[in-house]
Amino acid sequence: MSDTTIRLEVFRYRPDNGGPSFQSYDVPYHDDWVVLDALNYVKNYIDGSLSFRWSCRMGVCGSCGMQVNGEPSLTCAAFLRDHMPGPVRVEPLTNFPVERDLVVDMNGFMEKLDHVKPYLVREDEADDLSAEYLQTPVQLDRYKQFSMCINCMLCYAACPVIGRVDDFIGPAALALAQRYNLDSRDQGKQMRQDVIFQNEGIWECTFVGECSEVCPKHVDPAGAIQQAKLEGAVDYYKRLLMPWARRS
Amino acid sequence: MNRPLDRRLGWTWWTRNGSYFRIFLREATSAFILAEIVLFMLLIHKAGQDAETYLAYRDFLWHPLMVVFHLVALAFALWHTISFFLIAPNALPSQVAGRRIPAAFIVGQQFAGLAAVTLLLFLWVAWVGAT
Repeated sequence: MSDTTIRLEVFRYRPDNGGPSFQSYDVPYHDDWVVLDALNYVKNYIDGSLSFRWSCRMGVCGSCGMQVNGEPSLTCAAFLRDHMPGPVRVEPLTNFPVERDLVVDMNGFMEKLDHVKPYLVREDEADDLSAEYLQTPVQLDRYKQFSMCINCMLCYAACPVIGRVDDFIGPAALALAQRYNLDSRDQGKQMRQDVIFQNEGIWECTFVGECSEVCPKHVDPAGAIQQAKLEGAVDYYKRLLMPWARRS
Repeated sequence: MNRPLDRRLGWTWWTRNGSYFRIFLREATSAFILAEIVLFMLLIHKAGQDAETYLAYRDFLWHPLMVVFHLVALAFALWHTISFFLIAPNALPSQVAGRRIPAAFIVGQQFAGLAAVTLLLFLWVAWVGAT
């Protein structure tokens, strides 16, 4: 057991037990421990009432996103050594309603995600469910970066527009819409247009860019949104100047 | 009954960290550019009036405090321009005709364009001054 300790200042909120507060815990320091390890230590050995989400512990599931010293981070990838000598302040993701302690309400995010149809849409899907839709490496390269999203919601916590505009579809959902719109196998672009081109869609983004800064998978949602804006503007002028041409 | 706690970033979001503050400041540069445009429009307006009015306004623009203002506006304009050029590759499609375009190429093209337009303007002003 390590002799060195590090202090965690953990956000606590129990809706049936007063307002929010911070609670301090001294946990053993290990060079290879991440913040999630420290939280699990608290849960297992100090205070079993602490609530937080986690699952894979390896940056794949996107469950353990929290504010670590004010930065939206995956706690399974935030090493304690980067925050020595502490304290490490752990809070729930900003911009989300807090259900309890470090657990946020994801329903709004899930609804927004659902709006953009983040899956391959095929007009002929009903005809042949076993069909293969082949793709070249160049076609894959067009959207691959945007397909790495793990829905960890760090980008929503980093986005000041999300904090001001309730209905803004937000970085991850818009990046996923762009990801499927760029996919050569997809035929659902027209179905997504009404959502991504509405006022609360891409045009609400002011290109602060923090979503891309905090993304643990380097998806660059801000880039995806700006690309969608450019496509939308080009499409608009095409329809204005060449009304007889088919929409892309 | 559960009462979810609202912890959204409020209107003071830009004071929250250095990164937000820089972005806020970058957007605020537009106010300086607007002010410089207004000053320039006034200069044109004064030029259409008598010489005394024009020279008085020109002296006002050369007042030390106004020179400081122009320098601050220039610094902000350059900062906005350079930061805009640097993020432009993120906003453009990654491929053109199936080929990936290097970010450095896009950034370089913009700086080259800016240099070319600046040079042309200098040459034009020099030519007008000489004739």
